[in-house]
Amino acid sequence: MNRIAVDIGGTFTDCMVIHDGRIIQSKALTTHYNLALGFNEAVTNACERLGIDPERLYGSVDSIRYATTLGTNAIIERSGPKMGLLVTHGFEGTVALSRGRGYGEGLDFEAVRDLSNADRPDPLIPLSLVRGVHERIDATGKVVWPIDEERLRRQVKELMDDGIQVLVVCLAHATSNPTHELRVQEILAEEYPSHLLGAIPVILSHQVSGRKGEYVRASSAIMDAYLHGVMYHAMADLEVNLGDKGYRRPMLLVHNTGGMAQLNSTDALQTVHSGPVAGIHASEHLSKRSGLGNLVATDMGGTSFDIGLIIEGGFKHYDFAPVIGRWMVTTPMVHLVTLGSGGGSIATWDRVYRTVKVGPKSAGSQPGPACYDRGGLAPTVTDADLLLGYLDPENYASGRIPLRRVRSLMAMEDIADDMDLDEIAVAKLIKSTADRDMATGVMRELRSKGYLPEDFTMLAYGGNGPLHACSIARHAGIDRVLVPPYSAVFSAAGGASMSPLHFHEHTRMVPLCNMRKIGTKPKQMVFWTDFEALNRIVAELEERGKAELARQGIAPERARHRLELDMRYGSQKMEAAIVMEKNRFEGIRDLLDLAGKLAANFESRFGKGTPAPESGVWIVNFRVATHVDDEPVAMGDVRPPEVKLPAPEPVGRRACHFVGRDGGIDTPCFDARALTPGVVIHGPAIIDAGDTTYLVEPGWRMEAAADGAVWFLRDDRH
Amino acid sequence: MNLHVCAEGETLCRPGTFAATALGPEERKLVDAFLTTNAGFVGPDPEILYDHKMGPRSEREARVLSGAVDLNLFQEIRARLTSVLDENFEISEQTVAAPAAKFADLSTAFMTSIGDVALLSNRGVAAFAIVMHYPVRHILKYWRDDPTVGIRPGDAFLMNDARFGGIHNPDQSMVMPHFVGDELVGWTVCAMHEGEVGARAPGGMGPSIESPYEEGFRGSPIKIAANWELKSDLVTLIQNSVREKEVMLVDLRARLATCMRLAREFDKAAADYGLDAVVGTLRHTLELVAEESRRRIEELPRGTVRGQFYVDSTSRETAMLKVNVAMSVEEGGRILVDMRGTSPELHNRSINAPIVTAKLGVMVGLMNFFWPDLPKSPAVLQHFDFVSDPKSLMNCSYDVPNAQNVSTGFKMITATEVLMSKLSFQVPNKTAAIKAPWYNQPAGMMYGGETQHGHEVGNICADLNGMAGGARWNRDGEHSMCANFAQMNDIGESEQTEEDLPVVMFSSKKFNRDLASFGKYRGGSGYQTMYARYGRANFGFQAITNGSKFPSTVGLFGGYGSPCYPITKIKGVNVFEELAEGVAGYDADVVELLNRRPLKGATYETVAGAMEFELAFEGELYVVHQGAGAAYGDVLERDPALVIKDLKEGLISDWTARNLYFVAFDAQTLVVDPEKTADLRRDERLARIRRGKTWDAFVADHVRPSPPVGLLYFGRWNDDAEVYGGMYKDMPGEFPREIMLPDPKLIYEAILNRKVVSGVSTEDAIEYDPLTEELQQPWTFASFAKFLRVEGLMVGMLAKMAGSGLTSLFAPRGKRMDRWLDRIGGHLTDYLVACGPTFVKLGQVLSTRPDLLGTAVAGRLRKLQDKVPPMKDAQARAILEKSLGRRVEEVFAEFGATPIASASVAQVHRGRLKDGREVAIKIKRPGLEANVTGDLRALSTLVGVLRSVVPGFSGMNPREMITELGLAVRGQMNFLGEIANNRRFARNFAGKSWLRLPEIHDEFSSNEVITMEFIHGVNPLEYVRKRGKHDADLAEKVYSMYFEMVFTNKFFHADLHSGNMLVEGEGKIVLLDTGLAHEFPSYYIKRQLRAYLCVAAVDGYLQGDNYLGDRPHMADEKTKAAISHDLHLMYQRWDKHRAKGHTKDLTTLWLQIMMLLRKHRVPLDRELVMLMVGDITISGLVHEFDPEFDVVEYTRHELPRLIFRDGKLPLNDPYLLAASRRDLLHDIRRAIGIDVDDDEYV
Repeated sequence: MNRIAVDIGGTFTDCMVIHDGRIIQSKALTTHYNLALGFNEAVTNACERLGIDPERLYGSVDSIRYATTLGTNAIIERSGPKMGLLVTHGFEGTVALSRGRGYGEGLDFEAVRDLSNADRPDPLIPLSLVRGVHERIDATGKVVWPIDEERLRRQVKELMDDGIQVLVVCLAHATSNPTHELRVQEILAEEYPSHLLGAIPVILSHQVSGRKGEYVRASSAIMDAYLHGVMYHAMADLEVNLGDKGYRRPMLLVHNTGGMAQLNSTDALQTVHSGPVAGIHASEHLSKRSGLGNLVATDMGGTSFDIGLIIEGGFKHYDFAPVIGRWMVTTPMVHLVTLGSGGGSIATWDRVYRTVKVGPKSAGSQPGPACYDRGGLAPTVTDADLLLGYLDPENYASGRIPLRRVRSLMAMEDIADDMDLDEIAVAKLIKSTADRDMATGVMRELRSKGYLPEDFTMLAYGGNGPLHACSIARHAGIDRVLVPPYSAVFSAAGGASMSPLHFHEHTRMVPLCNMRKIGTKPKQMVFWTDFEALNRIVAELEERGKAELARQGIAPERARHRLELDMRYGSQKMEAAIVMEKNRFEGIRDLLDLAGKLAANFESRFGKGTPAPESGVWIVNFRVATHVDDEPVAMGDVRPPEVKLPAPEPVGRRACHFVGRDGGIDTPCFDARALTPGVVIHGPAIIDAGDTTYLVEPGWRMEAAADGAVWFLRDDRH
Repeated sequence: MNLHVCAEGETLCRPGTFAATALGPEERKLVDAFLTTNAGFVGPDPEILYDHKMGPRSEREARVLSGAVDLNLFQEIRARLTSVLDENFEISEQTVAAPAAKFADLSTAFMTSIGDVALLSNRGVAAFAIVMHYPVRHILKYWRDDPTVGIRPGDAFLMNDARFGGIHNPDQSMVMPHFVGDELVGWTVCAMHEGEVGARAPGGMGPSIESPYEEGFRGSPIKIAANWELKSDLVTLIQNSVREKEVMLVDLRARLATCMRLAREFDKAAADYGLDAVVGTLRHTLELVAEESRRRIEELPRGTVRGQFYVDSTSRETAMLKVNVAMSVEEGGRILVDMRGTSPELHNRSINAPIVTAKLGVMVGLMNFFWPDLPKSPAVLQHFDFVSDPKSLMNCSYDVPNAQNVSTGFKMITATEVLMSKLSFQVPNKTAAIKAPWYNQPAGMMYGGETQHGHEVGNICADLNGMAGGARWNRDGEHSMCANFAQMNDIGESEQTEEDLPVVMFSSKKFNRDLASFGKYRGGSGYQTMYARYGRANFGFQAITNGSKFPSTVGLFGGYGSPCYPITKIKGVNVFEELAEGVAGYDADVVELLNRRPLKGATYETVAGAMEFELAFEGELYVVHQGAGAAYGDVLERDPALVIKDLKEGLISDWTARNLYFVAFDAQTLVVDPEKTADLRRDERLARIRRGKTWDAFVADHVRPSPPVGLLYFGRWNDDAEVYGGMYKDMPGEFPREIMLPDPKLIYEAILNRKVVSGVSTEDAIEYDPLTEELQQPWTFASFAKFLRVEGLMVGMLAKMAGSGLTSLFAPRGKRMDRWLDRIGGHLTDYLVACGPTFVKLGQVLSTRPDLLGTAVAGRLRKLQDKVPPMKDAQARAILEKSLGRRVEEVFAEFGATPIASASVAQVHRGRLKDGREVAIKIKRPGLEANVTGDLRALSTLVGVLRSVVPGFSGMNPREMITELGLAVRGQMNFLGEIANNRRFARNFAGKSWLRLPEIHDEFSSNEVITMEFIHGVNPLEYVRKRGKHDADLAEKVYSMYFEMVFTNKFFHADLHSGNMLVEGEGKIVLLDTGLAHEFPSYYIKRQLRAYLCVAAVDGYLQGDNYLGDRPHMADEKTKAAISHDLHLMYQRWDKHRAKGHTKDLTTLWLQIMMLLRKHRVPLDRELVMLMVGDITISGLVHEFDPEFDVVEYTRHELPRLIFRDGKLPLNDPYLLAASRRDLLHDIRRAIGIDVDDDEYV
């Protein structure tokens, strides 16, 4: 098995090469003007370490996999095309209104609560480029108002005259009956044939999402259209580059569903957040390989803290209405929470509570923390880390960024004055506040899904993760932390171990059972009986899945289908994804089985009394996951080795300060490269791992495991 | 027992109470003991409900907080518990069933042991933070020690009656006591908008509710769960009381589960941090918030800001309800909120708000718009005190319904926004942006009925959450985003709504033009939703919005308030059938729908924002709108680029961009012309200065001593301590009896009855009459002087009249009376001219009423011309320049110094514009308006005298007379009216090549100056004379002009004499002096047409019927019979006369009719008299052009066209049928095209 997996991020292009059983990680700077250059450099670096020629590598690799945050960047930079939108007449304001709540999506509570300063993000399609089509389809798919084509042609012309580069179409209930959306596409093709220069891409909402909800479907289609060009050009460049290198096999794109596919089966929306999702996939893979049980994966960088859950047994949490940037969309995406906490988070004095508040403002990388000495004046978490002695001013980020302690001290002064404390005490407060906030986020994730923290192992990666892991875990009530192997290129590692996967969805409201009045009789529970109708939906979704794989040259026999049903009780909004054991409905037993599963799901997550079968049990959405199980990457067993080895000689000592301990504590420093599996180091200790620093807090011990994995385990719990 | 405690702020003790001071402590104890053991009913306790402040520390709290506290630890606990609340908020949102709660009308909270909300979920309804301690205090006070109830671990209490706290009936809240061991350490809360509670109106609130006993399930706090389980008997009781039974069950369970999850998390936190720390944190949070709020108040400038806010409907009828608010920042960091002067409560309308709701309005305003960073808790209002009138809209009693109290309560949010914005404007460290108010009405459809899935429902659509944001000091407000009482609540997806409910939303989220407020920064725009009921289910709608006539949301610092859109109903049609057949021109925009009415056969109706529940038929459309957030700052300061952006986005109209924002731009390209825009804006600023008034003038003009007559007004007027209560006025809280408003349906029925009986529409019965107010103003010296002068002159006139009476005796017999009357007319004319312009106008008005004064006097008055010496040239120029804002030389190339005509109101100069066009410039005399009031007052006295002197006046309503006069005078004095009339005539006659009106140069005209085209024409009489002989053509033109005005346009030049016409070239008529014009309601036009029919039928009886038949109150049967008889004789005589060719018009007939009615003292409608007099005048004029012109023939010829082609009368009109019986009207028979069988009608 030979593979290349790449994660193209905003700064670095991470690469993992698997060649003849060896796993090599390498990095290069991302080259935004032509992604291929950075990619080539990363591969070349890896080849150097492997000691082979890149040509030979390309010749032997069976697949190349990409994860990327390009889409996310395009949204932040607003570098997409000018777009027009056609909606059903009467729905013109839908996108602009963003369900009302759109002003707060993607923001923290502090921003959400301040209505006086609440602003929606600038729209991707301004109101002036939205047109209402005279047409209407009802909820069941029946046409109640035939489309007015003449008017439509005029509207399209107006938009084209305005210079739109992409046309998005989202008509009401197009998921129940797409004929009107398809007709728009036909008309556009008639007016602007594709062989002429005036032709533009048309994105139809029902093809981007199979779900009901005109706003979320429209915003999905818009987001997809917006990223389409950027992704298309970037990916095409890469593909051409690979062709030039003599590579003839598939280039696979990691999807935010946790699966992957070739370019011809990928829409742009599916690539957003695929980097972090690949990280979660790597965690899942790790958990399976090493039997780690439930994991909560955390990625703490400079500005954000990502949290994802990996549940034992492969059950995945998906978001079906995730927020991308500041827009809610509807696409099945692996559930991932991002908090605005990182090394750059700024601390302020909170007058109301007379204590320190950290975030949500961030100094980012420009100007960065005060200690970077690049103009930042506000105290940040990294400043606190520096003052507490955890960071080596000479050796930060492998020595690339020199840190100035005096800047951090100055930045702390104001808060220190307000609180009448010394700077070290303030730094401790900043660190514990930041850790506490992140821990709160972790706990919240677990609790709101009905899980208990003590059943979880925390995975910590990202630049600042291992530095704060012990403290976050302690606040969250978790005793085991794993810094995973290949943590520097963890997302790439996730890409390497993925398999092709496609979701196909269809919204259809089906009451499995429902109280209703029949004639003059009193209300009674009526059960669904038309099983064939349900099976037809499933079969059709499976066919689409197979066709998708066939397009990528994967034989239909290899395809596996998993039927998931989004279910809810008649009167509630909460939906649960229920996996059906089999793929066809045969009788009422199947319905009762589903109802039972739904009830069990609710009870375990939200408590006794939350299931409400009295108001009917409904299937609201059918989803078929079509996948092929590829051979995964053979990571080693990262469980703590049985054999314990004593700590090596420290390479130095520093006076460090710890929350809850007075005064400076003389703390040994180690070099991560000297760690061999089985080495145990008791806290307090600092381990320099080049790009990151491991902090073993008092009361914790570190145990090194295979492939560079490191455990932090709590000593003082019992 | 509580019934006997006088609440704070209550001045009135209830009957049977003892004033506390009258009792010694011993006696008091005895009395209390007696009352306690003999209470029949545990009602709402004012002692609890008037106390919004946090309670004392518990023992444990006091112990924990008296020592050293670790603020950082507390903060950690707080963060954890808040996070718990937030996640449980989300779980609850997803597991409850009530629609509003599913869209975030919900809150979760932790309370201290005495029930103060210490922490509330971040999302959701802030208001729950300040209303939940009332029920808990009630439970603690009354149920804790009651052996039949008690408080034990695993109990949960449910409440929804706003009389016991909470927000309003549809909100159902659950509280659960939390024990650690035996100690009650706190409470957990899940409060939400349940909606359906079995009220008379589906969804728990609605206009139809008239009594507290129609508000559905009235939950005082009851123990709904024990031992962590719901009690099935009580659950069944509640389910049995409501429409949505399953929803109720699901929600009860979901809330219980939420309270339990919160309790579990409390325990976990206590296990991690210690109970003391957790309890301490909760209490400490309250105290910190209280302290911080005091600090923030201290930053505000000392002083008082005031505001008044209006609710324009009681939900059942249009009314002006006032919410009067003043906020005073006082020493020591306190704010006093004074709501006195607010409307009194309404005994049978549900928009009354208990004091609790009024306070929460202030709290919500503060939390959402000023101090969003503070945790939500009652401590926010710790340093606020409230004063209000008892039994008022903001402090209602327990005897009145209050389900819709939020409609009123939201006004307090707006009040807080406006007043606090003003107070905090200069505070340097703001915790939020200064902004104009949020839209504040629950503008969404409520619905009820059965769904396509067989579910019974009764609730509210999430659209109400889409309230638009107010403009900020530096940027526009956001379009509909969330309710002003909550954060991030959701307006939902229409596709989902249609999955769940039997509706198709033909407009789901659509902005209407100009449904944004206007200002330097505009408020967010509201949106329109349009529902069509779909499928076979029984389903209907209801709405509870106010502010569809009067803006509910006011602008800030010069910005406009929210525009008002009513609810529109399009009924009697199935839109689905129409669309399937391809209806042309259908558009989901309500303005288009109402203007173009593409659905044929439908009724188009608008109703005020509140609408009683009604079932809809399939395909009927209901359109409702969200209002706009208010605007900030002056429209003239808005960046033209932003105006164009709004225009492009369809948020404003072209008209608004040009005429309100004064932006000049190219209509095609929308490119702004910056210079011209600057010019326009400068001009408008100058015009504003010209329109401006001094403070005293403004007060004199605008401040009225009392509300307009006929307006249903509630609340204080000016600074009077007394309060209006619709029909009464009294001291607050002391109305002679409860204010009961009649059921609007009864009124409607009465109107229908009256319509059937009289044919008179009384829809406009409540009419604003500014004059009455004016006349009620106190005398000033000037007006008194005027009065004296007028009276003095009158004495002189009366003396002269008497003298003439004597001299007339010398005239030959039979002519004496005529001569005397002629003399009287002369004296009257002189007198009126001497008294000034108002009186001249009076003369002109009187001249149109020979029915009152007799023909002789009226005829004399008709010749009334007021020759007044012209103004000095300089004065005329000064007026011109001031009014136009430019120098005469800038406008005119030439300006004639001597006027070519001069009258009391204005004089006319000749001039020439810069571009060479010749113009006539009409300039108003100065200082006329100031005299009018004095004149009118003098007149009203005079009319009183006239009534007793002149016969015919006795049947006359002098107020109507004066009102008419006032309007006529004012109308003539404001040239804008004349200009508008000129336009209207020009438009009406645009198709006639032989008639035109002088072109008016708008840019050089104003309310004081009219610059119009100079017409080179001659007086028509002169024209005819010069051409020698008669001019039949001109005669027919003029008469047809009259006919067209009256019967086709219904808009009539009320001053048509030869002096107001010119003939240009070869017989082209030019109409001048359009100052006096009258618009006739169809009713009178029909009546006049029928009068013609009666003439044609020579049927005097019928004519009697025409005038009196539907107005039995005007004449008794005997008089009516006499009149009819006389009329009939008169008609016969006239007909004979005509047959002989002696008369060619109807003049004698009309005059005789008027004289006859005057003889019988039967007043005629002035409109009818005006129509007759109009015909007389015009007939006279026409006969001067051509004595041979046969008016009657013309009428006969034209009538069928009017009746049939223009459809003025329905074919089954009894008069038409009667007329068609006569051979006289062959034309009519032919025109009907049917052969009427005479026998059938004989």
